[in-house]
Amino acid sequence: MLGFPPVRSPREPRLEPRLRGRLRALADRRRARAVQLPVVDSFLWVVRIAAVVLIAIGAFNSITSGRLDSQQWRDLIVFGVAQGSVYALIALGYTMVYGVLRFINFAHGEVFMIGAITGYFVSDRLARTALWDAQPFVALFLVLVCCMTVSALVALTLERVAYRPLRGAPRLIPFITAIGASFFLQYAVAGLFGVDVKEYPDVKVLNGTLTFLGFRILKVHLLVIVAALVMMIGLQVFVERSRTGRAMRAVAEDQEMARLMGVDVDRTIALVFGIGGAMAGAAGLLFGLVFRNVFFLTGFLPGIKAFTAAVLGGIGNMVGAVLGGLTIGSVESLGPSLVLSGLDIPAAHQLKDVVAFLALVLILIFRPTGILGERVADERGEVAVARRRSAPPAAREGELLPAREVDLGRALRLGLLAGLAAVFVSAIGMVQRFSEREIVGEVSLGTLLLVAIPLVLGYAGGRAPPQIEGFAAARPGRRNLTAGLLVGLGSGAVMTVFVLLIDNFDVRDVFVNISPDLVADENGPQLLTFGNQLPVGILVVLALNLAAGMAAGALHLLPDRWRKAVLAGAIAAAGFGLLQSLIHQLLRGIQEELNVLTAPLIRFLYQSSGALSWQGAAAVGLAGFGIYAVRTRPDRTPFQARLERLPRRRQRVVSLAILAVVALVLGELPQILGPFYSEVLNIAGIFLVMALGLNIVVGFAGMLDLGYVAFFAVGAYTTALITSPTSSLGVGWNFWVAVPFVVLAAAAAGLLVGTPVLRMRGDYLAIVTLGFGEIARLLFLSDWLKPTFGGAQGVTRVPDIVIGPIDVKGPQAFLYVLFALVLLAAYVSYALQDSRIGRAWMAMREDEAVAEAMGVNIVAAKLSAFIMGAILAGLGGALFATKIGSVFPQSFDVVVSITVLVVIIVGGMASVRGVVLGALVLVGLPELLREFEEYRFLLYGALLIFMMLSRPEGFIPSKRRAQELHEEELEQDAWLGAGAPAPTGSGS
Amino acid sequence: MGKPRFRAFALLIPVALVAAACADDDSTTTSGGFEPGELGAVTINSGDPIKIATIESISGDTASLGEDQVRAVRIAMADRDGELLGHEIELQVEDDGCAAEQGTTAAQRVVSDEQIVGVIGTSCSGAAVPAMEILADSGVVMISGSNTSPALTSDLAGEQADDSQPGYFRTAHNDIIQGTAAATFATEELGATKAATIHDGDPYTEGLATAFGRAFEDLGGEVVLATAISKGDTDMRPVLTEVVAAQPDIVFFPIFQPEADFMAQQAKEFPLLANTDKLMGADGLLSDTFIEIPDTEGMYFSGPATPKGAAYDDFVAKYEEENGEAPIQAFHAHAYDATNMLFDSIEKVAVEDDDGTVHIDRQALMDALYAVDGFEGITGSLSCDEFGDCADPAIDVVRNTSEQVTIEDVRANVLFTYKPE
Repeated sequence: MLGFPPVRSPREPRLEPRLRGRLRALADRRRARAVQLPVVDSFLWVVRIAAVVLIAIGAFNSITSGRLDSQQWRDLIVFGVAQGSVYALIALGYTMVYGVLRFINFAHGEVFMIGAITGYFVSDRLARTALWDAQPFVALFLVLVCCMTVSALVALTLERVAYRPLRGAPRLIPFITAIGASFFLQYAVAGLFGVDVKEYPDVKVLNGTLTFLGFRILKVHLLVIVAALVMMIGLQVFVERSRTGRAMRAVAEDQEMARLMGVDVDRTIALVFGIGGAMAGAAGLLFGLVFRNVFFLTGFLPGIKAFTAAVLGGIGNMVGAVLGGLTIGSVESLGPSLVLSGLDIPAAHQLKDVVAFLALVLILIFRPTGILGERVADERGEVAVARRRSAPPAAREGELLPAREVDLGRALRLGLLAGLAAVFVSAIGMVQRFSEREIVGEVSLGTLLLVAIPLVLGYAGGRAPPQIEGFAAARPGRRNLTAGLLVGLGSGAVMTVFVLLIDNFDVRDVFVNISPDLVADENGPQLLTFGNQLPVGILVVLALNLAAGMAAGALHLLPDRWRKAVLAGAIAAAGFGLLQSLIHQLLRGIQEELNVLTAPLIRFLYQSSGALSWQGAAAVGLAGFGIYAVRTRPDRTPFQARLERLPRRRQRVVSLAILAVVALVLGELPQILGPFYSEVLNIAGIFLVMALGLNIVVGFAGMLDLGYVAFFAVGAYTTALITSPTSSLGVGWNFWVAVPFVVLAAAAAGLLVGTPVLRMRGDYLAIVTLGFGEIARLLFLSDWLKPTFGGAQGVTRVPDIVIGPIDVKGPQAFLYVLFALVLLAAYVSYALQDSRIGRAWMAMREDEAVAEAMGVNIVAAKLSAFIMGAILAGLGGALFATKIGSVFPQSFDVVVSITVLVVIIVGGMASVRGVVLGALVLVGLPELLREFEEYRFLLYGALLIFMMLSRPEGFIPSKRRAQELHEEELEQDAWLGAGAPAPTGSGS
Repeated sequence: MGKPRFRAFALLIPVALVAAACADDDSTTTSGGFEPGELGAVTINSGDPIKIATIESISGDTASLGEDQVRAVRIAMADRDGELLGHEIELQVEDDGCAAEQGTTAAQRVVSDEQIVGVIGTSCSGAAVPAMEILADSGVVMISGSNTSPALTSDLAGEQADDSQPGYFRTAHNDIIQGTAAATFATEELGATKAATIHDGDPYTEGLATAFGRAFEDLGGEVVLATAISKGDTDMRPVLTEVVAAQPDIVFFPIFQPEADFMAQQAKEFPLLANTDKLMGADGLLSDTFIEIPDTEGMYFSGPATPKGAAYDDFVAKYEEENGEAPIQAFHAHAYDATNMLFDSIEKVAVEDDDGTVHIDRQALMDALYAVDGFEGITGSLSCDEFGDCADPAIDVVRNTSEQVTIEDVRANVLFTYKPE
């Protein structure tokens, strides 16, 4: 037996186990009795047979055509095996982590990339010494050690910071965190070391080819293949034979039981990450040796391919990972030449990823748990995993345990973190980029950023831990202040070291964005020391950090309401400063459209440079403070309650008046905003429509779809083909004629994607849908379908929407149409949420087997979710096509899918209002803050990690999900999980 | 307690209604004897600046392409001491990100400011298509220094292209010319009869590879393989195996880095391609980081001819002084000429009142640009045709050999220059 043993859920089920067991049995009987999916099954059989026939015809044609000779076919096999070995090396890391934790470390590809980049820096330096040519293997070994160490460290840090706190949370949450970590690491590397392609030095001993058994093989290729096999066998032996390996298997089987048996679970899991990271580091170096060029995106595609390989082989299975890697590599290399060219498809190699993902889909249809099979059958629902119902800690009736105090050690750690964060934003060039814009008075955004870091973390450090059941509330006092001060001290100290370091050493050779403007240039702006010369500058840095930390800590001394009012004031001032141009336009628009004189207000608030003036900042801050304080005054009756006290007729009048005002505001909004800001709202609105659609699939039905962009593309292309007079159809019909076709095409696409994945769950579903997304983009782009879809040149001349006599031209008019669609999508979401099918979705999300036993038709529920989601995305695509007026395949890459997913998760999954807010903040805001553009993905990544760690339910959660993921409850669980039997021990 | 608030609502409604009713009335402020044409006019009061905009790619992979041109525009402004007709010139810089969506947003920003007279841009043809639709609606002219897609103007045989819009001009060559130049060099100078083309799915590379293929077949050759890779690919060996099997005399791959790096390096492993004299790239690869790769030695490149002459040397000197480095891409000179063409045309059509107010009629400005004939720029003598192609298109084919060290050396190693009749 190879690989990890079956994993049992570390958590108890929510349902009474016996009831659950009975329901399961019932579900099994139902399955056995009826042939469950006759239509679907016959459809899948048709797909299988068609695929086999096409492959056979293509292969026959290619081989008999004599286009390639037998040596070239053999070459292609070798290339495939070599490329596959690279995938296999990365896939081993995915599989190890999955085997133990049942968690896909999506950021593993980035750990690999960091190994490759480390390899570049070390080998580049070594190549300047004599060692490189004299003792190449010694030199390479040194490089290897460095790569493995750095990658292992990164993997360990990731585990500690991003994953460990989430252990036991529903599985979607660490997965999203991993996606965030992946973006963060990519763009952190880009910011620190530059975006350019780095070229490995030549290793002379590895040049040239060897021949055996008629196969010509490059020496580097041989090295990679051997390395993959050695690592696979080594790992297998390690896991099966060694003591640590046994501990790993024990943890995989049952974490709590393993802990009881004396296994250090945390250490074992860390070790798994460390080993996986080290292997990724080695893979990075080998990649560098084979392909010679690496850069910050090097890990992304190979990572996805390796992820695919791990899934293909049966995730959690080591031999499966290698087999999967080799399969993907060979299919990519041989598929286009062997099958596609044989079918007379032009530019076949453009479609190699299509072939790879189609192979994945086909194999998973045949074997839903991969080639070798997973070690376990996935029986759990995805989004909602049962959470432990925790009992309050053992305290006598009516008695409270002592309050949990502010943790000073944590404050110091946060301080160091704040310092590192400040160093990081300086080293990636953010401070410098941001210092070009003045926000308040002469204070630039860069300065504000440097001060904001100790402020925010000082606030976090000075906060008492959340109150949990059975404990007394903590009283504010000196400790809050001290904690804030400690944060300031920590961050000030780290910054000081950094400032001294870059003042004395030139590190631009490696860290390209550490410019002399930060400190070193004495005539420069000296951004880090706020314009002061060095000895004094250090004092200024320290003083400012201490002051910021202390001020933030002191906030906790205020009563809750006043503290929040101060925050509201600060946030209002910051918002008015950041969004200066938007507020300018709003005020100007109000003056022009509503004839309300606002020019004096503008002059009062803003300076001629565009920055908020000091008196403006003070006024806005005071206003924010005041409004919050007034709104939360204790004797205030909520508006709703006051409304209900009124007589019936008055109530109706008031409601109508409110509605009229809202309609009027919405009606005037595009005029007040002007064309540009309307355009920004349009962009956010299109994403919003998509997000509402994806919310149905992921939020309601709990199916993780990473290829949602496919439906968006289908909608856009359908519209373009039907309405553009110059498309391949050339009919040039009206937009409204195209709409039913868009709905039909999107629904068909939803069905097409939904059917093969009916039996797949969780990670399989995620990777297969991601594959479908890429397949769609590549087909629209391909030379093969160019006569239909226009290939790289897309479809242009998509006309505007026409409503009766009105031509919807320009962003302001467009916004009205978009409003209508958004309202429709929101209405559909609300209506579905409480409908029969909506309840079925939610039941399915909680537990599929149980839902089925209760009579939910799973096939209908899944397909209808896919189709509904697809239709909304398709309509979004239709609007996108007419808005841009042209459709290019470049607009539909995987980043769109990820952005939409981030919108719903950050906004609040399954919550319509949350999704609206998410779209405005995540899509609209970056359009307004152009400074952030370069750092967009870095911030997305950081935001995802932060949200998942601190507020996994999103900005505005749905009630149901909030129940599932409550902070206090998590905290309580953590406290219980840490096995603290003596309640008195926690106060210290 | 609630009452005053409701009264406030009630008050708000008529106010808003009145405001909404008033919102649409259009007031035209004309002074003096100036009558604007049907596309409207820009009026610059005395003391106000004349505003122009650039829509260039200044972020992402293609940032250097746009940055190079924005710098050239600034030099053109500085050459006039930042003034035109006694008014200061103000430049608004917008980013097109080399993508259709961002081109749209940038164009919306431009048209939302009615004072903007004209635009220099875009960097990429894909961004120009939607941007120009928006600009054309407002009658704003745009001159690009680096769009090359035939779809924006014409097929050069008198047939208007699908995406051609009034008010669109460019000083860069049409792809058809570069494709023809490269194909002519391959057949006439290298004696090639069989060609393979590889693009990467980018509209620019796909368009150029297609144009090359057409021209090559028109010249009597045969395209034995027209294939493609994807951006992000690293293993080029399978596709190179196909290329080798087709036995071409020339492989034209006008793609970008880093995919081209992999292509050149891995081609070395195939005997047919090992001495690299069958490999040909295009202007996207004419950069220091590409030619310093040892495996690119012997490769040919097609690209716009490097301008020569004192005026250009003068320009480069200013560029270096201002930016601390030599020009970073191939199209700065084109952007410089575009800017000067725009300024000259503005000067030609502007109507000045006695008080220093300047009127620029949009239709007149567009007509003046279409009428440009024999404009002496640093890229040659420019004349605009009825579809907006203004370039004086000279395409060089250059070669990177062991003697050339920097990109300037390679650009100077001209083997062949193509100029259409």
